[in-house]
Amino acid sequence: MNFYDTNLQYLMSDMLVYSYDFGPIKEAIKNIFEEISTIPFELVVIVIAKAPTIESPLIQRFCEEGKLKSFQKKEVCVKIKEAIKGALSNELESSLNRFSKIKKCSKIKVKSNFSEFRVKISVHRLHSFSPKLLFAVINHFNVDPLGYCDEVETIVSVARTEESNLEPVFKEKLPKLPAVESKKFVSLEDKESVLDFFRCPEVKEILFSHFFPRGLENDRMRTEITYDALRGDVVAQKRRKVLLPSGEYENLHDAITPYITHEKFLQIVDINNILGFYPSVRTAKTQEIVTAIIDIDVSSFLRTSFSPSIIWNLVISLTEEIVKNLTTFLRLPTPLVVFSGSRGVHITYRLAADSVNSDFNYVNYSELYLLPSQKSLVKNKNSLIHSKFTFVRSLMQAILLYTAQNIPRERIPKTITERLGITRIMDLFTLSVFSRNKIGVLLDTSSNNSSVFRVFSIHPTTGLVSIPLLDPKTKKIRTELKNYTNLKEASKPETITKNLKAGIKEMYYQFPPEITRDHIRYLLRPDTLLPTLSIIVRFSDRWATERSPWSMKFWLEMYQLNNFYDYLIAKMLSLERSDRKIGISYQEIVELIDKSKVKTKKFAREVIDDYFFRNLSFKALKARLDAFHDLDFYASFKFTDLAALPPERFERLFSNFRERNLFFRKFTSFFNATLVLLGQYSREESRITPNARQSLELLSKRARLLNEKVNLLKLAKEKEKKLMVKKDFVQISCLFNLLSKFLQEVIGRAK
Amino acid sequence: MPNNNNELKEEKELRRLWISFRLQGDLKEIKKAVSSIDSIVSSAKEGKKVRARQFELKERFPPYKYAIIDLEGDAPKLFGLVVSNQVYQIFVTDENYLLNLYEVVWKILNELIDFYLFTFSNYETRFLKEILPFKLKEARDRTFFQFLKIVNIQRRDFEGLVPALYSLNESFYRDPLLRDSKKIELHFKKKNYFLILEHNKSCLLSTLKIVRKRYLKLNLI
Repeated sequence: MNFYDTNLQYLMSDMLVYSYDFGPIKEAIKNIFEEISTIPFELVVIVIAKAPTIESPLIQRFCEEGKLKSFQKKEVCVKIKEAIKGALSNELESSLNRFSKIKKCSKIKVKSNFSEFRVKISVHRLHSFSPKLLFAVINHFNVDPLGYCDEVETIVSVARTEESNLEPVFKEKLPKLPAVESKKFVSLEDKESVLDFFRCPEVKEILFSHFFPRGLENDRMRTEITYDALRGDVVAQKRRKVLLPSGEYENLHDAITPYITHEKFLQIVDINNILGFYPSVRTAKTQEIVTAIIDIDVSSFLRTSFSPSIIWNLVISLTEEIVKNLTTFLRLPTPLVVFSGSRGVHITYRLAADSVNSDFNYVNYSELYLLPSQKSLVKNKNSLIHSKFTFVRSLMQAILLYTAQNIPRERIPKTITERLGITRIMDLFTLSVFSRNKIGVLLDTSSNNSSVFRVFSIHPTTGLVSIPLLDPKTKKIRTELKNYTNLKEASKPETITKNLKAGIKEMYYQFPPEITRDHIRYLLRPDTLLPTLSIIVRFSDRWATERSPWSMKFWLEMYQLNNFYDYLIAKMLSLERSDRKIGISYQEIVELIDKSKVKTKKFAREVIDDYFFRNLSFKALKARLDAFHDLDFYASFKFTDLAALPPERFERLFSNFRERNLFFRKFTSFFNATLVLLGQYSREESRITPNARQSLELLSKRARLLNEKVNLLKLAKEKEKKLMVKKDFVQISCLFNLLSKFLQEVIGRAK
Repeated sequence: MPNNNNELKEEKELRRLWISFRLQGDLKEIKKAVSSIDSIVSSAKEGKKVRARQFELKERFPPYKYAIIDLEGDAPKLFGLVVSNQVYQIFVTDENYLLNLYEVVWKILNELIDFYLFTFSNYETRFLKEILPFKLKEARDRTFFQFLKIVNIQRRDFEGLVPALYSLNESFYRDPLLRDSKKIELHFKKKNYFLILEHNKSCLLSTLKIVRKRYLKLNLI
């Protein structure tokens, strides 16, 4: 890090004046597919980019203009090379390998020398590729930093049959275009049409009810607002300060109040060339989180390889699934679903004032203490226990992970699944920008990190307005908007103003509903979202989607079991039997037990009834619930651990202090489990004969004595003590074998 | 007293395992202890080297023989204690009188020899058992300190007081130092004794909550 580092970054962004057009390659590939009647055996595309040197014209020009000093030349060159290398070596190959059809046929190599970069894409068995999909793979390497290069050359060569050699078909230097020309965007020339949109008084009304929702008009809860300022030659840029008619500069959220007139609002829009508004997630003064957002983004790879209508179908079915889960499974109100403006969807909720609470720097801890790895969560000050923003983000991630797991295969368009050869549907989704999967649908929640989101205003590149998609009466996505061409028409600013003037207003007057603390409490129960959130905490958002189906199932069931019993014990601990409202909490617990998928829930229900109606002590209750947990754990995850102790291991166990203690721990858990299990069976008297009951009592007495000796043995370190208690040790191991056999049979029968 | 260190350790662990919760006591016993502590504190006040604050809690407590202890300061300058419904906070304003404070503490501990002393950190145990015996001249019989029944009620090492309470769905008692116990030395130098006293009070009362709502439920039959 040196003094010029930040300066250099600005300089480098200024130097990115050009971009390369990959259009000629697209045409060449099309020609190959059209001209040749039989599909060729192999196709190789090589892209060679020459890195800039000190003498290259771009750097010379900046030196002559005086922006770049002579001593900075080498440093800039090295930094440019690093930028190109970083952009080209993204993990496309590993993300393509997920899809079986592409994995079999393609091979990608990226070589970076000191002077040039070379990308080689070779494809066999072209019949499984369409020209569009092939171009999407190549176009993935048309990264922005290529614009620094002096020249980019491509060679396309084809082998007609299996035996013939590769013949070059196309060899050209790609055309260099100014970066601005190659992209479409809304510029200052379109200012009049933008102003026409804002002139409609209803637009101001809708915008202001987004900025100042009911009950949150006061100054403390006002959020920051960013806006897009129109530019002549570049895409609209985000700004926060506005120039007022009086000639002063002020923050936009300070300049706009709920009582401002439409004329004054128009004046501010006109002076500052405003295109769109982005309210922030957090409040300006108190730094509280006010909204929760889910953003569905489609990757550029999918966009280039499939037509927009297919992509829109995918997005629609995904949002329908998410909304269905939110409303039915998680019992939340129907969210505000908005078209993002290009090809995505935003789903938003507003958070009630007390829903996310952080006293003494612990966020909603009374719901989060059951999550795994508490120690590291407490240590890390940015974890979801300490930061409100991370908490809301990971809650949204858990919702998305749940839907990605449970989305039925039929909901995804067939053309996508067949053309890519998808075996696991989770491969199509990612939760993090940093994930290894670069081509899936990004279910983005990063804007919950005190970022911004667009409301009812024009998209800077497409010029479409972000309109609500749901029907206000039925609360389902409007059927006419499921067609992409219809959607494009409906979200044009002109049609919206026409509708508003004609009095068709209802569909635009939709605002995000509120989530309360009770809603969040329900989300964080073991039968709803707690196991999925535990997976995100355990593996992080980046790797949570990378689990294989078996691994995912294992961890989910494990956390379902652990969370269920932990939650029950904690809930019973916080209850007072003398409380008047004890009936309500009893009903809640019974409902929870009935809903859960745990196998031993029947026993748990019986014990909890005992606690409420027969004055069972909490200590006894906890011992029993722990035993049921152990039983279920051994039954579903570690059935092999129930094996008897072989005589070869006996000597080693006796000599090794640590192993012996582990063995004793296992023994106590077996012992408790069998006693509790027998007690549970003997409730129904018909099951057990009087003789059996007598022998059971004897067994329990003997076992209790031995259990006390276990505690003594745990402490024995010296050799003399060992010899003294060897007899007991033998007895304990015999009993252990008995217990393990008993448990094996009982659990095996239950299985 | 066993000579071998290992044996001593094992004995300690044994005692921890075989601890039987003979918490229940007569009201008479508890009242006697409270009155004797009262007299110790009032006599200590007369010397003007040690200061004390004392108040009553409004709640009623079952007649269990336990007390809650909390110390404040790097070298403890404040000794907070809850017995039955009485709260005592004994402290010094001058570091030269620390030994006088420790003597008062020793006298009080003598009265609480049958009581279980609950704390929410290892600091109190370390100080009372390992440091205090070597500071006092009068305490010749150092084995006395080894037999104090001090129990740390943390679920794991370095468990916070706030998360422990929140996990029970309970609110935290207000604290002027916002749970920052590192600032106590600074406030002692600035003579903001009221802040330290209030911090200590919040610690004591929230520990009391955890004892009643978690520890006793988990361990008493």
